[in-house]
Amino acid sequence: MNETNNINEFLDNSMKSTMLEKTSDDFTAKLMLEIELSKTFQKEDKKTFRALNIFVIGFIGAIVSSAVILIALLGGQTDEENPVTDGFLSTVYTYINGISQKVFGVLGLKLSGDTVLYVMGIGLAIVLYSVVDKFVLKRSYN
Amino acid sequence: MNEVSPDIIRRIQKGETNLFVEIVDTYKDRAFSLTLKILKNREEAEDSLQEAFLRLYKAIMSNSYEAKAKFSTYFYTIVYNSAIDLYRKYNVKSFNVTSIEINDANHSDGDELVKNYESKIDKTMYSTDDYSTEKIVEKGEVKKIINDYINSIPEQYSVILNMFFLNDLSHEEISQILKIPVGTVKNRIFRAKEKLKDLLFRAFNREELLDYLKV
Repeated sequence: MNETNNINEFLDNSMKSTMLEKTSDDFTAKLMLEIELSKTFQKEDKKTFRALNIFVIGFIGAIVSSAVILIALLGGQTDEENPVTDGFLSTVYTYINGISQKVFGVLGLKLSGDTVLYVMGIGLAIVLYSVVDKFVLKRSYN
Repeated sequence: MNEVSPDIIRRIQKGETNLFVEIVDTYKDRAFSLTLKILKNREEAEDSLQEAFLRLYKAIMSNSYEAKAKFSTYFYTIVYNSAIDLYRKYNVKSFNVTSIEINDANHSDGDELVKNYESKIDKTMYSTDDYSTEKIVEKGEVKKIINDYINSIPEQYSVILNMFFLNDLSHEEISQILKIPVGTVKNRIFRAKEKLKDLLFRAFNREELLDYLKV
């Protein structure tokens, strides 16, 4: 019994000492430097993310307020080729169509009714993406 | 090995970075031995360990480390996974000849591989003069046999032996980290030790070896 214990103890200790390998002398220093760098990057990322958030919110706000102002100023002007029909969507469609025709008229462009639908679609997609990104995916930039 | 207490974790979270340095200094060499066993390249093993400590630090600071979990199990899971990630990344390199991932699906293949290895050991090591019986025990030679054995053993064994003997992990912890049955862990440790004993007793006179071990 004692014999077996001696052997086992010897083997356990021998295996332990045989398997032990040393890291390089500057391992801890390098690691702590990397941790400090990651902290700095994390702070920078937070700042960038905050700035990006402000920019996106500002941009969307500017678009929405411009649209509201333009609707208020130019609304009600209808396109003779596309008569107004009943319902909320038709009203919005008419307003936006009127505004865009006015704006693009100033720029010297002639656009069809479909173009307005595309623009509305793109705007809707941007808004949806922002909502999903923020509240559903809860993406973090940290 | 002393376990890292929840109090130490809380103090690190409050900004006592020197306590994290203490954890690094306590675990780095033993954990490095494990990553080196997997990656077989010092530079890559250090990179993998740096990544593991960085992940640990982030887990502590973001509160994703659950203090309920045993620290060593949590830490060695990160160490093992970081090494495996790097191994997969550089899998095209020829530094490894066997599958090091041990799971339910391949652990019986691992046993087959170990059997082949054992028969190879029988053929090569025992047939040389160095391993003839009745030889007088010399300190250096016993160590040499153990060294040769440990360094030539397949990963299916060596990773488990490393975790058990060097990193003081229990059978259950190893089973949890490697996701294999506890029985497989126990079996591999037992067989590895029996094989080594067998090698030593074939190489040296039994009484002399026992006398040497008493010293």
